[in-house]
Amino acid sequence: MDSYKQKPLAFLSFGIPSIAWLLLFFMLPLAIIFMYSFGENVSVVEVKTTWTLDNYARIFQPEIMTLLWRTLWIALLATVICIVVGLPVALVIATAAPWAKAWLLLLIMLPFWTNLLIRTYSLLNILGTRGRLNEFLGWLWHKANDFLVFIGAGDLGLLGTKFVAFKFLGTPGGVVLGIVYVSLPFAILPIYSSLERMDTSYLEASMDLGAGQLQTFFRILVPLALPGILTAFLITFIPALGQFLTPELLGRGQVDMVANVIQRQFKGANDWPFGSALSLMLLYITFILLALRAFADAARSRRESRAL
Amino acid sequence: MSEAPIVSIKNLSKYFGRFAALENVSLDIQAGEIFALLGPSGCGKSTLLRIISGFETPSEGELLLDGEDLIPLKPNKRPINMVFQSYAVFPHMSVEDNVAYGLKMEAVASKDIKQRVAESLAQVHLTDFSHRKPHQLSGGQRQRVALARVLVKKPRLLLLDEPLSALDAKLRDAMRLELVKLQEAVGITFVIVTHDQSEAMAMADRIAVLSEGKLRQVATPAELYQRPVDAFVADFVGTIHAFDVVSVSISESDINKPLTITTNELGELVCPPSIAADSIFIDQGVSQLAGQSVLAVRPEHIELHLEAPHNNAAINQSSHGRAQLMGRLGDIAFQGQHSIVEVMLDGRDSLTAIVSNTVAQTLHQSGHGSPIWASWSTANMLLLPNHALPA
Ligand SMILES: Nc1ncnc2c1ncn2[C@@H]1O[C@H](COP(=O)(O)OP(=O)(O)OP(=O)(O)O)[C@@H](O)[C@H]1O
Ligand SMILES: [Mg+2]
Repeated sequence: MDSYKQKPLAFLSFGIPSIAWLLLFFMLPLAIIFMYSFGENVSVVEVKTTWTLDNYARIFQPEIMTLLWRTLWIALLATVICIVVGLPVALVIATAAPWAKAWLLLLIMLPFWTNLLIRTYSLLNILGTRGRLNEFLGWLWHKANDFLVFIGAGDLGLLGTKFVAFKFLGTPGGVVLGIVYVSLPFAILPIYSSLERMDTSYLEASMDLGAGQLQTFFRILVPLALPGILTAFLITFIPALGQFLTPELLGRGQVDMVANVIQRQFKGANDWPFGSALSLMLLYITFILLALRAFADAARSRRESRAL
Repeated sequence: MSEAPIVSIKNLSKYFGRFAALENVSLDIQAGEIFALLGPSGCGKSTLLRIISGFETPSEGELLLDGEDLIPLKPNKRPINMVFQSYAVFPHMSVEDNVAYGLKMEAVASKDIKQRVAESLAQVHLTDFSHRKPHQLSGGQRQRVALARVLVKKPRLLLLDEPLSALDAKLRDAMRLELVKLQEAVGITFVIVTHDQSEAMAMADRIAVLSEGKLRQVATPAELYQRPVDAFVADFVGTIHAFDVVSVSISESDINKPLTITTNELGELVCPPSIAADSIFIDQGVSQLAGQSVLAVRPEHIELHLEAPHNNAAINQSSHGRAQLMGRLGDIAFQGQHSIVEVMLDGRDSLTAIVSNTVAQTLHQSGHGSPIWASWSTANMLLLPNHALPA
């Protein structure tokens, strides 16, 4: 396998296109952004790199810190919901009969075949004040109310005098819901693959030793699925930090996340240097998270290789 | 055997769809014994063990522990523990935590847990390893953790699924002895699943032989070897050389009279009636014997001669009380204390005989392919039904 080292020409002829691709379309734009982030607007269309740190200093303004904090907790909450919801789903798929498994996985993947924009618009239809979800909740309210009347508790007004539609759009809750909707498959798949590979005799041994279903779940299954859960966390959290479309459409401009503000710097505000600094900040956060993960993995494999 | 059995299995069957993994199995396990479930791969041993532990429910039949129905109890409620074939030692817990797990589930007081875990680890010589993680242990040590983890719970019954199959040959032999000693020390009833007859013979007080989901025989190792119920069992617990029975003459009036049995290879033989498996008299009419039974001999009963033992020697003729066959000398395998010699025959599989190394040496000098005579006493043969007995 390492004979390519003896044939540098062959190696280069295969390597150059992809290296060139990376340089041209990834490293170069990144370098430009990097330069911009140390620049100043000298005219409406021109940015000059003066190596100023102003753009980074501006990140620490209160409103930007608020924005970052909101971005962080929305992404974190969405990620946690994805994992809490995704774990049981992954468990059901992993323990299903082989034929059912294929169909369930297909169902999970199905949304990927539809454009994200179209899916988000359809969410608008579902989550609106007069949307499908509120229609359903209203129906439930009426049924519950009818039931209360039926058992003679109708005039106590336990459920309020009339159904009040939930406001999902333009609220952080709606944005979280939207991000959960988009990211759930990404959270399910890594957890599923770690459960799928798990030897069921661990679970049986736990039951055999006297543990119930819940204890087996929390003491054996979750710890053994932890690598998959960690992957699910990163694969959900990192893109969620950079979410643009969901807060833009479902947040109705009232629930901005970092990406929305970045976009505005490059367009309406015409402040490319500050936009660049903010973008790079997101990148740094991602790097830090990935580095932490790598350290954790390295520490684990070091522990394991220290065997005996 | 007069005591009430600890486990009683009656007419137990298990179907996966229409496939019968176990069919009408009935057996009793006595308190304090090592009971082995022996049979070829896929015969249903693990299924039976999983039914006892509660991970499978039987389709039909009864399963009693100390006279009480076990079937409605969930696995975590049964006073039974299992050592899994893969050991299933929890990889994210230290040795100590693995052993303590079952006690924590029983809500034992934590200072008692500490003490019992320490005792249990001492029992399997793992005291110095209590803080290690499973991946820092060898296969044999991991097996000891699995053992300590169940012994600490002091179960009524301990199930072991192929406990030695994951170990290398040398460790396996040592662990056989150690397991038997451990069982004697703790006094817990062991049920051991194995497909290795020598393992079952070496360890078990009694052995149940299974094939294709059916129970063939339950007996002590010696009984199983000396009085197998049919050709399958005889073949499974040791080598046999079987000859199809063409005809039998039996005295219906006096079952103590010698039998005259004819096979194509050996001619007519007069055999003591004791060589017939009990089932032959009980289950099969004499008329059914021909074509459905075999006359068999084990390698250690075969003697080899370079000269014909009888005068009219060129043909395969057997005289009273002895069977005789002529063949050519095949391979000789030195086995340490003895040698295994192959006798090549025309028109059928060769025989093997176990002889002393001195005899093997003499045979070796006469050269591969030289004529050789095998003979044995008919009293050492077995008359066995050829196939499964009707259920
Ligand atoms: N869950 C199941 N579904 C369908 N068939 C099964 C199932 N479990 C076992 N079987 C079948 O039942 C038969 C007995 O299986 P079992 O695992 O008891 O065999 P075994 O005697 O333990 O074999 P081995 O020595 O290979 O472990 C096999 O033919 C197997 O294919
Ligand atoms: Mg098995």
